[in-house]
This record gives sequence, structure tokens and C-alpha cells, in this order.
Amino acid sequence: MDIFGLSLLSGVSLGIIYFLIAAGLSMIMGLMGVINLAHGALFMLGAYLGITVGKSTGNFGLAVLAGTVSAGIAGLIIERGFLSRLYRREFEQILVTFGFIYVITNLHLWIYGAYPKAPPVPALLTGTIPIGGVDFPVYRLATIVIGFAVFFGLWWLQEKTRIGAIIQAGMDDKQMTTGLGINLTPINIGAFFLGAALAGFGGIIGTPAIGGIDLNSGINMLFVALVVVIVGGVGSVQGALVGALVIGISIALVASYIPELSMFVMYIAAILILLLKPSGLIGRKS
Amino acid sequence: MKGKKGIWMFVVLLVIVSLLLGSFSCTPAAPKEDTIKIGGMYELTGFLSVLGTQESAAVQLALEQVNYEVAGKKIEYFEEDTGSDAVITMDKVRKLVETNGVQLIIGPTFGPSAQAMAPYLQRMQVPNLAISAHAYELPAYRSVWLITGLLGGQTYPMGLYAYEELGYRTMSAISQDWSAAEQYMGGCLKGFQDSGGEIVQHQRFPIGTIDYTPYIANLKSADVLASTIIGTDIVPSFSQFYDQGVWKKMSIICSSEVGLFEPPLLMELGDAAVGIVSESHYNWLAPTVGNKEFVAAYKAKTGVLPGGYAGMAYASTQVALDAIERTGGDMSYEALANALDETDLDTVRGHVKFTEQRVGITEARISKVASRSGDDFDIQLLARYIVTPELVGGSDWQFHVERVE
Repeated sequence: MDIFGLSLLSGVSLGIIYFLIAAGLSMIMGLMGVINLAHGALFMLGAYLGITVGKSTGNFGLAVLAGTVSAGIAGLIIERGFLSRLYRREFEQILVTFGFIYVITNLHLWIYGAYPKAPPVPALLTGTIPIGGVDFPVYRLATIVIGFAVFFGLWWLQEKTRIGAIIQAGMDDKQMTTGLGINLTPINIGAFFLGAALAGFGGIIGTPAIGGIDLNSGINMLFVALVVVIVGGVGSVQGALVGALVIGISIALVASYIPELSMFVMYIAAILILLLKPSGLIGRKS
Repeated sequence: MKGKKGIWMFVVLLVIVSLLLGSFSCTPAAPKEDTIKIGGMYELTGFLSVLGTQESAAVQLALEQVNYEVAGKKIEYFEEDTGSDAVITMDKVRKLVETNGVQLIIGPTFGPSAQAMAPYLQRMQVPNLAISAHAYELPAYRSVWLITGLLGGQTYPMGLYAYEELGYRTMSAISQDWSAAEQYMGGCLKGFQDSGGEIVQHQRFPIGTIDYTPYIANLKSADVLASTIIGTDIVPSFSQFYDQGVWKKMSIICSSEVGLFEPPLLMELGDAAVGIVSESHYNWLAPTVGNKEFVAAYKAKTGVLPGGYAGMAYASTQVALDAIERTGGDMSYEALANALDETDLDTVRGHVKFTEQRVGITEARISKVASRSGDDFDIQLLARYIVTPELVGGSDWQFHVERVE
């Protein structure tokens, strides 16, 4: 496999990590109309706590559970304690969630210190496979499998379940849905928890693939997640996957061939989509 | 509509009050005669926060050890966070100088911040002791004393050593894409080329890169990979180099002023750090004057071993206190400048002396992470060089290197 093929594979594995964080953000934005800028910080929270649990217990499964649940609970606190009181006040929502970025980041600085953390990798998934002259980590291939499994789970929830139908109805026409007697509040709460938990899951699953997490990861991942949602479209699991893969593969290919542009490519993609198809590649038309 | 009007009126009122309050703080607070005011500027947040937090701890330790007193006067110490951002740095340095009235500033480490501050401090006649090495252009400002010298000078010996001692003849390079990394790597590449080596490639990646696979895939065949990676990028980058088998194809050397010798980073890297040769100006095992005592005190204060930037920050404070002692507490710019120029002091990072341009004549240590047992690393000293910078014109420098060990 030449450099092109290897970059493609690397881009897919990176894109899957982006999908895990962006899927939750897209769902929250689509259903509740909330731009949760603290979403990246929840990714970071899941990673840090997961790494701590993983290193102290030696159990990766526990680490994943701890990272996922902790991010979900943190998301619930943000939603119930603050965002629920700011319904339809988008500017205040943005300010509050932006503030939470600093609160969560500085809490991490206080608890864990400034140094980046390297995550444990489960013994079963260590090792490499030679691909294109490079030893490609087995864990990255596993991340791709896990990511697609999560996608199919979310797609099934969205397309094949009653709750999914309610969520989609709520995204398409909230007034009509509530007018039909459906109480969207528990659905919103559940969706926010799920979205936040996905971010934490992405943090602990994704970090071993990229080698480490640091205090800047929250804000860096937020930018990525926002771009993925813009490119893929709001409120669609398929859109989040397509957007994430487009961004991941673009970054990997550009880094391979024109590295000077690699930090711009995702923003160029976002600008093009906003100009040509503002609802995103597979977004819900509002 | 009423609510919006009220909000706008509040914002306008807030701006007016801020401007009024700001104008009252333009006059620096005059220090009491028996008080010396020292400022510290560190990257406590942002991508260099791993450096700033340890620098802050080390400077505070140095001041605590003298009971916040020097030359018979009390020291008042003020600390600010640069945010690893030059714009924030300027706001903070103005506060330190114009509101707090500091008479000497230690730090920052972030190159663009130091360069932004330099003309201002020169105008305000406040000496600045740099903690880390800085860009070739900085000595043009007479307000800065570069204890750790210049960026390329620090890493020049690594390039020499790679060719002369390690026997490498071809080098591939990878570095972060920003000014300091470019000059650090430049010094190493120059040292290697001046010895007769060939540079086959130099890849640059943006700070905060998540996936290094494209750069690893593009690596050209060479005897050695030289890397300049500073701050939080070290852990993900070296982890990926290790995971993707770079070490099987070529040796890896680190080229920056502390290299890999940050104990918490080494512990996170684990096996990924073993075998790597790295240049540093300070590590906790260096047999310099007072280093054992400093390491013990730092560990007692923070719970961890001191990294390179902690050692350099502590040394900068030693230099500051020594200069103030020699002025007898006279904090006028002329007295401090003369005293700093005449510095001839053994510190925890080695002997400190300045050239005419106020650039430090420094020691560079080439060491290797020989082995690892849990969180204990065996660091072997391979060579020690004295680097003397010489200004040849404009901002062009030559580095005279003498191997002493």
C-alpha cells in the first residue's frame, strides 16, 4: 500500500474519533437547538478520568465505563443546572458553555497537572500490522471497528426505534411534536446525556489511538466537532459520520502531500459547505 | 426592545468605567525603598503550560529559600500568566510594570511573547531575565539577559555529536512549525552539516497535530531522525513514533533545550523514550553546584522531580538574586544592568556568564535514556559542551563549541 492508501486508512481512523465526538454534538444541536461549546471539554474529561481509572485498575473496560459515564453525568449537570434555564436564549447558552470550557480545563489542571497523559492500551490490541512500509497499530484498526459499531447502534436507535422517531420528530417540528402530547423533556435530557457520554466515550477510546491527551485537547476537539457538524449536517448520525470521514481523510491526505496546509484544510471544507450547501452534506433541512 | 437597550447601556457604562479605572493605573506604583519588586511571567495555560507551571514553582522555591529577602530588603513578588500568547503577554507585562511597579522580570519562555515584550521593557528600562533560549533577534534589545543563550546555539552540539560521535552521516528531521522549533532544529542541522553530514529531509507539522501517521509514512531513509518537539505534543508524537515502529528504521535524537528530560513526560512515554539521545541544558541528575539540594527541595515542594524548565527558572532566579546582592539592593536600571553583565556564577544549570550582547555562554549536555525500570529511568551523560555565541553581523550568529567532557 503506498502513501495514498496509508493516509486514507489513517484518515479513516482519525475520522472515526471525530465521529464519536461530533455525533453527540450534532444530536444535541439538532434536537435541542443548543450549541454546547463544552462538548470538547467533556471529551477531555472522559479521557483523563478513563486514563486514571485504567492505570489504577489495569482494566480497560472499567476505564471506558468511567470515562463515558463521567462525561454523561457532567453533561447532565450542565443541562439540568444551567442550559434548561436558558431555553431559546442562544447567546447566553454560548456564554455559559464557553465558561464551562475554562472551568473544566482548570479543574483538570488542578487535579492532574499540566503534563499530557499517555493512555493504557488493552493487551489484546497492542502490536502492529505492517501496512505500506509502516507498522500500523492494531488499536487504530480496532478504533475503526468500534466507531462503526457505535454508528450502527446510533443509526438503529435513530431509524428503527420509537424513541428515535420521537427524536427525529422533535428535530423536525418541536411544536407539532409537543402538540401531539409527547413530552420532549425526558427525551431532551436523555439525548443530552447520550451526547455527552458519547464525547467521553470518544475521549477514552480515541486517546490510545493518538498517543496522548492534554489540557488543550478540549478546545482543539471542539473546533473539530463543530466543523464536522457543519460539513456533515446537524441532527443526523449519517451526517456526522460522513462529515467526520471527510474531515479526517482530508487532513490525512493534505498532511501527506501539502503539510503546510494541513491546519487549514478542515476550515476550508467548512467554508465551502457553508457556501454551497449550508444544511451540510446530509443535514436536516430546517 | 427595552431589555436590549438596557443591556447596551450597561455595556457602554462598563466600557467607560473600565477606561476611567485604566487611566488611573498608568502611573507605576512607587516601590518603598526597603522593598524590591520582582515579576514573573510564565505560560501557566496554553500549549506551553507544561513549562510555565514548573517554572513558577521553581522561582517561588528560590524566593522562599531566601525568605523573600535580598540585600537586606524585602522582596515583593508578582506573577502573571502569559497564556502562551503574545497579545495576552503584553497586557500582563504592562500590568506588572505600570500597576505593580516591578523592577525586574523573570520569564517568559514563549518566544513570541519575549519578543513582543522586549521593546516595551527596553523603553521602560526594566531588565528581563529570560528563562529559556530565545531567537537570534532578541539580543538587539538591551533589556534582555539570555541566560540560556540562543535557540540554535543550544542544539548545535547535538548535530556535531550525531556526526562525530554517533557516526551518523544522513539525517531526516521533523519539527513543529513555529519560530522557536525552526531555530532549534536549525542549530542541530547546521551542526550536522558543518561536520559533513547530509540532511535528506525536514518535515514540519502544526502545533497540536493529532495524527502523525502522514509524517511517519513520508519519512525518507536516513541514519537518524532528529526531532524538535516542545510542550504537550511530545507525548502523542513520540508515542506514535514508537507505536508505528520508527525506532526500527532509524535512531531518534531530540534537539531542543531540555529534550526529553522532563520526568513526568518520561513517565508518560515509558518505553517510547528508551534509547533516545537528547540534548539538554538541565536535567535533575546534572552534577552542577547545588543541584542535588535543589532537586530535593523541589520534590519536597511539588512532589515531582524538576524538569528542565524548572532548573532553568531556578537558575535565572539565582542570577537575579546574585545581581541584586551585588548592587546592594540598588534597583536602578544602570546598577542592575552592570551587575547582570558582570555575572560569573555557578548555578544549578551550570556556570553562567554573559557575552557583550548579554547572551549566556552555556553548557549543553548530550545524554541518553539508557534503560527504564518502572518510573525510574537511567540517564547516561554522553558528552558536555560549552557554547559561546559570537555576533557576526545583524542577527547572524556563530557558535563556538568546546567539548569539555
